[in-house]
Amino acid sequence: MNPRSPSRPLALIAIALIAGLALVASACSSSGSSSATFQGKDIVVSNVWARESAGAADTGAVYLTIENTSGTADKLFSASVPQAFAKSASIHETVTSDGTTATTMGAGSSSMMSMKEVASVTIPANGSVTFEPGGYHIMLIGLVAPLKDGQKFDLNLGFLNGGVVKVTANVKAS
Amino acid sequence: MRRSVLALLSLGIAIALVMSACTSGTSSSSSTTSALNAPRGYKPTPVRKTDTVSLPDYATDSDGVDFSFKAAPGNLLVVFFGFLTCPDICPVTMADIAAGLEELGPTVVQHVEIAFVTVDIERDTGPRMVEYLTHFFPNSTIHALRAPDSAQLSAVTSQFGAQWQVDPHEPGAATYGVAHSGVTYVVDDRGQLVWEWPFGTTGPEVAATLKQLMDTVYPAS
Ligand SMILES: [Cu+2]
Repeated sequence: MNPRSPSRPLALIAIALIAGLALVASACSSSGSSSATFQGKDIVVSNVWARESAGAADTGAVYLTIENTSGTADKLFSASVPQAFAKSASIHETVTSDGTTATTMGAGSSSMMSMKEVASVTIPANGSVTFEPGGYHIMLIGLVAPLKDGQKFDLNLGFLNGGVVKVTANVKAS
Repeated sequence: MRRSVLALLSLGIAIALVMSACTSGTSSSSSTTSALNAPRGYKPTPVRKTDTVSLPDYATDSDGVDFSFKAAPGNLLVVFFGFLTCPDICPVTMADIAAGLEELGPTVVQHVEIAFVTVDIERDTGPRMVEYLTHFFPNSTIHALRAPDSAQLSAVTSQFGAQWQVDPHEPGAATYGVAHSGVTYVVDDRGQLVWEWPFGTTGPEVAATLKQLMDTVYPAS
């Protein structure tokens, strides 16, 4: 009996696995479509998304991740969108009335939550900040049309050191 | 021979890694973590009744029909206080509840009613609330609840223990601040508050609690 024969099925399995890996990887990047990154000076912005509008809403929120690859802290201090898209964009934070951030609220806390505009958000040296529900968001006010699933729109982010970074947001169903 | 087994193993690991990276990247509220075995939220004690208060419901009638805060027999009523121009807290809560219902499937979902009470009675209208709720819950019984005045809204929120506040503004102003508690409540068919979820409760946590409540509030008879 040929001692090498068992390796043939193994090789076949390996080919199947490689094909599977490629499929999974491609499915991942196409469904998330969050793989796009946007570069500034020592600044990398990724996973830029907004939720589809529920009905005829004229406000929206953009979420994203900002990474600072330099040894010096940077600051995001502005956000803007084309006038043809929305009246204004600003940096907002969701806060609770007892001073905690919404994402760390304890069970049963009935403290009130609201959002406030912030002048800037510090991106620590060699660190990152994620804008996510219950935390920071880029607030869109006066949307010309409701956001639709699959839509893309441009946003300019102004950093103290990183300069202006033009990013594209993906609108997701949920 | 041994080498090819190793290669297969590492390929398998690579696939697992790619898949896990993929799933973690798509979760909506990834920052919220909790113990998997303990249900998120709590059962309020002592027992609080909510069917002593009511509001006009615009879900089935554009003129509004009086709705007492009580689920239909054998159902659970999920209640949230928010407003339509809220871009962050409200949609993420609606999306998480919707994800929970999706996980439960139609046999349970037909026994879960969704109520949204607006705390922004100046800007939000019945038809727009119906449109908003239908977007998130196309297959559910919904209640679009809007008080005719702030006194009636306060009567309801104090019964639930919810809070809200609208910033002072000129009449007819388009933008003004609104604050509200982010708690979601569950009411049974006797009009009793049986559960409260804090803000940030995820879809799987919503599903687990609703399933457990169905079993404990309505034990098989
Ligand atoms: Cu905001």
